[in-house]
Amino acid sequence: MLKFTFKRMFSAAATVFVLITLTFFLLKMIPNGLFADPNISKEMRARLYELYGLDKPVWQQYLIYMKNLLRLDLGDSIAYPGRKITTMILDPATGNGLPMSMKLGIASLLFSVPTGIALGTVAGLNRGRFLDKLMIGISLVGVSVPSFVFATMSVTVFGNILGWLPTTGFSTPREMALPIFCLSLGTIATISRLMRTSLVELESADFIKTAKAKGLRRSKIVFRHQIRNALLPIVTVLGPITASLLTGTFVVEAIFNIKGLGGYYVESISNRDYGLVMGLTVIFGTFLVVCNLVVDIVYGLIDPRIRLKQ
Amino acid sequence: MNLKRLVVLLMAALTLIGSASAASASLEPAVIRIALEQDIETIDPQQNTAAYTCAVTEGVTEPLLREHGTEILPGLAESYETSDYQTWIFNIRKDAQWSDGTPITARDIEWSYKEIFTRPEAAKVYILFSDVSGYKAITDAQSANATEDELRAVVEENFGVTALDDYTLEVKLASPRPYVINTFASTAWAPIKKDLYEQYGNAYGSAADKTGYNGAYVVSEWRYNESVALEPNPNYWNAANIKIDRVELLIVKDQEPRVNMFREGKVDSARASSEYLEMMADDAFVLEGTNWNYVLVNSYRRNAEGALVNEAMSTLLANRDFVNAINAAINRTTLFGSIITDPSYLPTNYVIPSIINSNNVARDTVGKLRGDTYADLVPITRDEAKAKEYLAKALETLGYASVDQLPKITIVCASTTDPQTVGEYMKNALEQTLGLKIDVEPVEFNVRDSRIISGDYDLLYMGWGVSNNDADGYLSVWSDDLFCTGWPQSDPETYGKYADLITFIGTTADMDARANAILEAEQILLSQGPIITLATHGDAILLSKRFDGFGIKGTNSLYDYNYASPKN
Repeated sequence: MLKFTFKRMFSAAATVFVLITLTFFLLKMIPNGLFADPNISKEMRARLYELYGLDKPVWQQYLIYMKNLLRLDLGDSIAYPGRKITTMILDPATGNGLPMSMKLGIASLLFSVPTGIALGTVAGLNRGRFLDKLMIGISLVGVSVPSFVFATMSVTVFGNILGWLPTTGFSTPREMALPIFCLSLGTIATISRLMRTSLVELESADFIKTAKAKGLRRSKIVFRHQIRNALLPIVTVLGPITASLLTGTFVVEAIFNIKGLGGYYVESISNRDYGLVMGLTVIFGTFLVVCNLVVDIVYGLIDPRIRLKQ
Repeated sequence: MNLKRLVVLLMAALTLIGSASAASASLEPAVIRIALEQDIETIDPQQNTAAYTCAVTEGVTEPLLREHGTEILPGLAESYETSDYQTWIFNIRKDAQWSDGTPITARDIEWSYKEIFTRPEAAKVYILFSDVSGYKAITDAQSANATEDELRAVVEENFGVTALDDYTLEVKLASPRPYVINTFASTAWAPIKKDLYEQYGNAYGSAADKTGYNGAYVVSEWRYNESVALEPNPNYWNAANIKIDRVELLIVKDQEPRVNMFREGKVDSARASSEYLEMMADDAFVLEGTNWNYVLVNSYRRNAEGALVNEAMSTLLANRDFVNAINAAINRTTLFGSIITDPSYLPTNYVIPSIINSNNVARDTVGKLRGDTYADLVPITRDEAKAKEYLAKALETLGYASVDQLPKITIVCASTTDPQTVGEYMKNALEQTLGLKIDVEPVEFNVRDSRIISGDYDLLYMGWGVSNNDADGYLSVWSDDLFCTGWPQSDPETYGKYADLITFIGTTADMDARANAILEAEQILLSQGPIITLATHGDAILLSKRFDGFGIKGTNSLYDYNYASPKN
């Protein structure tokens, strides 16, 4: 198991390295148009390039970036003079940025994963009945309707028309309700559909048939054998889901005015704020790779066949 | 008897509670909350020109003069004198000081203004000092790639700002210019604090403790990407008359939450699109925009090195009949009335009337002469017959047998929703009305700006506004080919005449002659210049009625809260 874990960790680190390197050089290939304001003369533009170290050869810029990255210094923002990218992303003073996105993401995970599993289980155990059809319908809507539609609709209905809940902010439980709900719907739908399918597939598995033949109680078969095994595919998707929920969601954060990382994804590209783009890539990439690594290790623990195959 | 006593006691208690709560209500701090659509990049007055950033600098910095509505009021200077409109003497108030109590003298102000030109990051605000004598010598030195030391020497020798003593500042303009008075009230003309600047350099203004404050307020808390809170500056010369206890500028980038926050009473002002104007008619109004949307016509298509690369296209776009055909084929009423939902105006002239009206001197001279418009040069509806007539003339002059022989024209636009919509509309209109072949090329803003600078486009849709509220701001921009439109190369005679008029407008002291020159230049630009004007962009603003003196300005900072007070 230790060898398996080390192997996985090494490949995760290599993935992050390749990701950072590729993103760095791809960014440099985009037509930059930096400081392209007709009021700024050519000479002044050259001095601004010098100020941000963009006048150096690209390979030199890359080496400087990697050296700084090892010291956890993500550099300075071009769009926001005097601000450190690390501070913008981690924002310890205000709790905005990554901490805020994580707060929203964790809340959403805590709500959506158990709910998705519960709904999928109800649907899977009532195959073909009304409850199953209802769950399938709901999850179909959840998967196919984008979160901005849900978010806008819930703001209009619960905020503007009924006036039950505030529509902006994320500090009180009442303010948290709508964003968590809207962010969770997609995940609930995905997990519940997966759970249902796994449960249905397991119905005809040999070990379930054996358990039934042995005369075990239905509840024991369901909880001890069926649900436990049906959770395996859920563990697989939890990696990317967790990474994307924890590192900020553009739409929900924008609609509810939550100061997470979401807005920076779009803004940094259009501002050509190279440091911020790189910083977000490092954060998101690392999260994704780490989450997948955890999933792989957990999978290896709960399903020894994975380890053996490796 | 006991019951009576009890009733009396109860009533007395209720009265006491009532008056206590009334007293506490009146003691509630007066707070103005404004939703801004962008995060504040910096509050260094020498680095920003954007309206949302100026919403902060408006409160925390103090330029020489102040602009409130259409009035020009004293600021850092308690008075000014000028006998010829070329030399302006500002009497700096003796009680002017930074928020930490350090005095501000005329010498500090002189240093601050001169420092701007050695800061590349301040390049956006250079233009706000372009009326001062010596400006050209400085920009020439910059263009000649002068070192920082050489540049300092040029600024020292030429720039027309001099402290005559600790409390007298002389500003010498390049020529008599009575209309520049509003410029002295722009936040770029507020000084920066020398010791902090020397300590933090480029990062001056990037945090609350890295900024000097000499305005009515200081930044008490700055939460990046979330909010900036301002509280009264006790050392402000007019502190006794500041009636607002706290100003909060909240960053709310998306429109929907901005409007919802206004609805829920969480903010007192927010920008919105026109769809909310009808829904919230009691609180909303439209500020007539000062930004034009227009199409640049490139009559000298060049590559990045400046060499002519497409002669056929350049010749085509240099033909005035062809440009007139495009101009007549666009239905501006449909495009900006129905397709684009943001508030837009369709002026049939170029210099925006509200700009003239907000500047007393310009209003008195240019304003009284005009009134007529150029409906034929800026038609607000499509005139298909005229468009075809112009096209036929162009084809004949250029020797094309039919429209099919014309090269395909590309319209470059920004890749955001509205510019793309305009691009697609124009493609459709020009293809259907004139039979032209059109491509639309949406690119990101930065790329679009690069293409403008390098002259790498056929037609390009963009918006542009003035940074000083004078007609000259609208007109002079076309006299030095900042947008690389190729006008100087394709029609040097008209361009030369236009450039001469702009020089005259910028140097004469005869206001009536200046007004006539403005009108003449405007007509030349619209009839022979390198632009097709489309519409001006307005701002829909939601504004609560809780305060007196809290309003919206057309230029510089959008929000005017320094003179606000709670309504009784």
